[in-house]
Amino acid sequence: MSEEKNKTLKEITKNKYQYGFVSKIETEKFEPGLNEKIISLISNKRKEPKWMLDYRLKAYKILQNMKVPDWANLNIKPIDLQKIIYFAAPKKNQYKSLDEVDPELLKTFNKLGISIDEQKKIAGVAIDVVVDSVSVATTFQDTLKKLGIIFCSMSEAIKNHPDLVKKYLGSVVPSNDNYFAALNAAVFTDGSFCYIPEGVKCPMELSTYFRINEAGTGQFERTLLIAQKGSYVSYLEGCTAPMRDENQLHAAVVELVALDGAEIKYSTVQNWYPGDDKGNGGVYNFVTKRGVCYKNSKISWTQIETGSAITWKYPSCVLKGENSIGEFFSVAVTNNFQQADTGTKMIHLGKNTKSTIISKGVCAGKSNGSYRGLVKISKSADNARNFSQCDSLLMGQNCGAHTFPYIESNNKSAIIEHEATTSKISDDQLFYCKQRGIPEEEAIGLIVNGYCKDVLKKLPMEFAVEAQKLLEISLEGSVG
Amino acid sequence: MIGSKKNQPKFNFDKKSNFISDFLPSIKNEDWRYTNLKKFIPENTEVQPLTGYIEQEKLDKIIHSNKFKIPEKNCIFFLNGSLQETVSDIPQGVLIKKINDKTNNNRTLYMNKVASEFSADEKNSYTGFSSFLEKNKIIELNTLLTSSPYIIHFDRTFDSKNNIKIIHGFTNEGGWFNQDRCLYFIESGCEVYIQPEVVNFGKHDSVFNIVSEIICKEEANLNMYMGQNDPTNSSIINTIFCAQEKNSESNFNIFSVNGKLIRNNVLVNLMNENCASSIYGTSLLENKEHLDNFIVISHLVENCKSNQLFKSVYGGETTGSFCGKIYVEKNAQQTEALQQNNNLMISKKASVNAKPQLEIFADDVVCSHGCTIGAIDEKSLFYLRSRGVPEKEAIKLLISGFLTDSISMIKPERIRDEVKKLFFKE
Amino acid sequence: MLKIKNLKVNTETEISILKGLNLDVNEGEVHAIMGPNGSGKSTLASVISGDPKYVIKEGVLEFLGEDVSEMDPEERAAIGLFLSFQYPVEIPGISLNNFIKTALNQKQKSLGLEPFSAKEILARIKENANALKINLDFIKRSVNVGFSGGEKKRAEIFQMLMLNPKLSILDETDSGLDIDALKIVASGVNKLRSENNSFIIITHYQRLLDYIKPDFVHVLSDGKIIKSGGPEIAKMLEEKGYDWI
Repeated sequence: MSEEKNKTLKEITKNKYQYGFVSKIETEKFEPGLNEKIISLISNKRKEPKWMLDYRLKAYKILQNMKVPDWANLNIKPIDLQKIIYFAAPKKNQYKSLDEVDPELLKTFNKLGISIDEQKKIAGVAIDVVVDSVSVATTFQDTLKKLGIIFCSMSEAIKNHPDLVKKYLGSVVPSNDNYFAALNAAVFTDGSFCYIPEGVKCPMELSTYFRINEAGTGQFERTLLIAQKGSYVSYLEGCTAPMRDENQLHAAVVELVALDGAEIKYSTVQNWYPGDDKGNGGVYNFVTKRGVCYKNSKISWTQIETGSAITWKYPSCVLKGENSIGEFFSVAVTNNFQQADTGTKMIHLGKNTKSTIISKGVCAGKSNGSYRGLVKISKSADNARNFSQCDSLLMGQNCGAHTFPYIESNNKSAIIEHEATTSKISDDQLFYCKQRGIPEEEAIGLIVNGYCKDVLKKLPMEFAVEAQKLLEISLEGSVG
Repeated sequence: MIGSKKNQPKFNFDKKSNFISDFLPSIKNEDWRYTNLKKFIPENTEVQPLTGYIEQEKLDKIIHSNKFKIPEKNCIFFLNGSLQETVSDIPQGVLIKKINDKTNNNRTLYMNKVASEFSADEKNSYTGFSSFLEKNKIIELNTLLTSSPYIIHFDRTFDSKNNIKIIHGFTNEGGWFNQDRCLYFIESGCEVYIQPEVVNFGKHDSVFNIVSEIICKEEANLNMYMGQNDPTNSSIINTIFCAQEKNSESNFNIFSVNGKLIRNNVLVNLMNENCASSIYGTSLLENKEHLDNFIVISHLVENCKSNQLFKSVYGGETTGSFCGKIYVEKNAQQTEALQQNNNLMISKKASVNAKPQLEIFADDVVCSHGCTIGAIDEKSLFYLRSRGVPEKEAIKLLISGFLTDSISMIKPERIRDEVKKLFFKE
Repeated sequence: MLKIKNLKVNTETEISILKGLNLDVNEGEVHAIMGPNGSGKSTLASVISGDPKYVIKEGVLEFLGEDVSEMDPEERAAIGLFLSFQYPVEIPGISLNNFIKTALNQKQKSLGLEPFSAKEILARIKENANALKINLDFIKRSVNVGFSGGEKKRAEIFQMLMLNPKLSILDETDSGLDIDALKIVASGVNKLRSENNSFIIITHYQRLLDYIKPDFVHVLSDGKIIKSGGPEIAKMLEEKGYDWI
């Protein structure tokens, strides 16, 4: 590594996390600790019906018999569930008009580049904003209502649409699925709920913005998205958190249901605080995301993972119905001491089901990135088809890239193809760009963006540019 | 030489009740995810060390049996773990020694036993094997039950034109679960072609747990061809540890055709610069076989190359698994490591699992893996049939085409022909 | 414009390639450099443009009166140096369109000028693409990825026209081109040729020089220029080979 490159590497890895500020919002929060009393308190606070409390307590029982999974290629400091605050919320969180909103909260959103004022906000995107434990604002609800689309916070959904919640909550990710899913089921405090009626094509991007603000709190949101027959929706979530020295836990569950002929596009731009350049602090991002595809339906997961100290996340598709399609497009960037173990599961059950996996890992600094995936073709999945491509790009000599695909085929008529490569930015590519007058940093940004192109182009237009910038901030220049 | 009954290792048979849990990996063990050994080795299995002792009369019977013809030339014949010199033909340049001196730590490989021949540096390189040894106690069991294994030493006077057959024969009288162990030591600059084979001379089927350790000194060139074609429905767990010195090259070719369970563990450590290793696997399974190829190639230093190519055809009710790992150490820059695994399913009841893995800690490397699972291409089949080839023949032709890549990697023509016969019975 | 005096250059592995080379290129001049394989032609092109693979051991390398030997390649590019690579590298995922826009505006930025508007750039792209008979769809493809040999060379000349450099070095741009492509490439060079712009054309063959008339021809052998003269030298080389010298 040339001296000059070393310098660039240092400069770039110094790049500070932009969203690390703390807002002084008046907050109400519980004492730390996890027990049945706390769970009842959460449920009470949210004025939940009894069935919801029962659901939570059942999950808590399951949790007590589970252990933190250790199979991932991660080095996780022990997590003490008793030290986490399970409920924190801006004091006032129901607003009739913008005038009522805490000015500090408004300031926060402006700093984050989000406007909850519908007049000023990004055209064609409805946003649900979740700060710490509760949803504070959902925009464009009226417009959506006219089409029969329900887009609201989980609390409202439990109150106003209990039948839908009862029917689908936990139907895709049951409480006993894994440790973090059980934890989430016991203590989740809010999240987004979305229901698209039969045949409706949702005319705007639906978006949820997650923000951890309070110290010592965990964020446990729950998202449930139901696309009725023949409907279409594109959904995006973004996340940030303040810079803090201790690790914060984020254990979310996302459930998608795509009924016959429906299509769901679910995109994530994950930018939780990754910790500092010495490996202190940062968010532990343990997320369970899964979708069920019925006949002729399609679920696409797109994720840009640049934040978090540790990411443990496998957005998956259960391809239950005939001709259903599952897709997973991922860019995972790790720098400094970040660790990511991410990938997908494609479970082929129905005939003529198809899945595509494109995973691009970029590792810099002292980070470790792993792709872990499962493609399973069951006996009943005649003519199933899968294509997977998992590439890793290493920058520097202190990082590691790992690929752990599992491929299981029980049906002769299935065709499965898997490819994986590991590479670095070549000196020739860099020199070529520089000869054309493009400085090193820009050149690296350009090349990495090119490398991630196949995934970036799957993002909704409004966010593609943002994601591209985020990539450049996270890793640009770190070549070795 | 006929073995004696004296040299039995101390093995606590009282613990037999713990046997399964102590030594047999469960499917929760990641290395055995796709092979449930308990299905192949029943819990009440009797284990005891082989004595190596055999009556002359019985030996004669084996020599003259029609079941298996022991080659007259270039053959090293072990029976129940003992070298049978009268039956062997050991060519110039090959020396076979017994290792009797077992030190207290049974867990270590024999390689460490000849540690005086290595530098401290080299010893460190065995770390590539240690995690496997920890997780696979079945190797420890082998160590416990093989009393006095052999070193097969090749020096420069060995003529590389001689292909050596190494027969691990078992009469299967001692029990149901048989062990054998040997250490190959390939001197620097030595070019060697060996064909190890496990032969069951017994009446019933069995499980064979064979461990081979190989040390390739500088500029050594090792070529190993392993045919796995056991018609007696026995199971084999075949483990190879290969440690390579500077400029050495190893080529492993595994051919699997028959057997109840075939598990191949091939672990290669490229411990010094400019080493190369290739591992090729070819299998055509048509009955109820279960095949599990488990490969780990560790690039520990810079400028080494490795290549894995595994081609398998699964018919009948066969199940197969391929797990191949490429591991590249932090300082192993300029590594070139490739891995390819192609599977063809020709039966509805067959199933295939694959786990191709990369673990890369160096940035200036070329590493890739590719894996495919599929059926016979309908278009090709139709094309052949439209040219007048009957369906059955056409399938045969397409299968032979599919397997050609890995078979053509066999350098000596004689062995290549032998293998072709094994697969296509021409 | 370009002044090279007693230039001695080694590779990173300390193999001596240029062994005391002298060359002066003035405004508006076209110099052809010919020579057998391994004589150091491509090294010369790389060293002028700042390839870190080579180390200058001794000598003077000045461009526009400035010592550029320590400058980064992008700085040299910004002040008007262009190299058409013999083997242009592939950059997956980045369209030629996007790439050239980035390069152009970086150049503007380093010269302290406003970036070009999208409209201006598009107009220039259209003009230059037309001149080289390049389809606009081609501009949307990833830089050099899957380009044929001829397409790569044409893309290089296209970038040259877009960046409008003062000194262009063409490293065997003619190799692998058929006669029609050769004519198009030559027309591109002639389009840029003016009393202010200069060229160094590295080639094996006289062929290209039929379409781009050089003012001077130099013969490079074993790291030194061993013969210089007018276009007649190229003709003699074509007829008699390098033994003639």
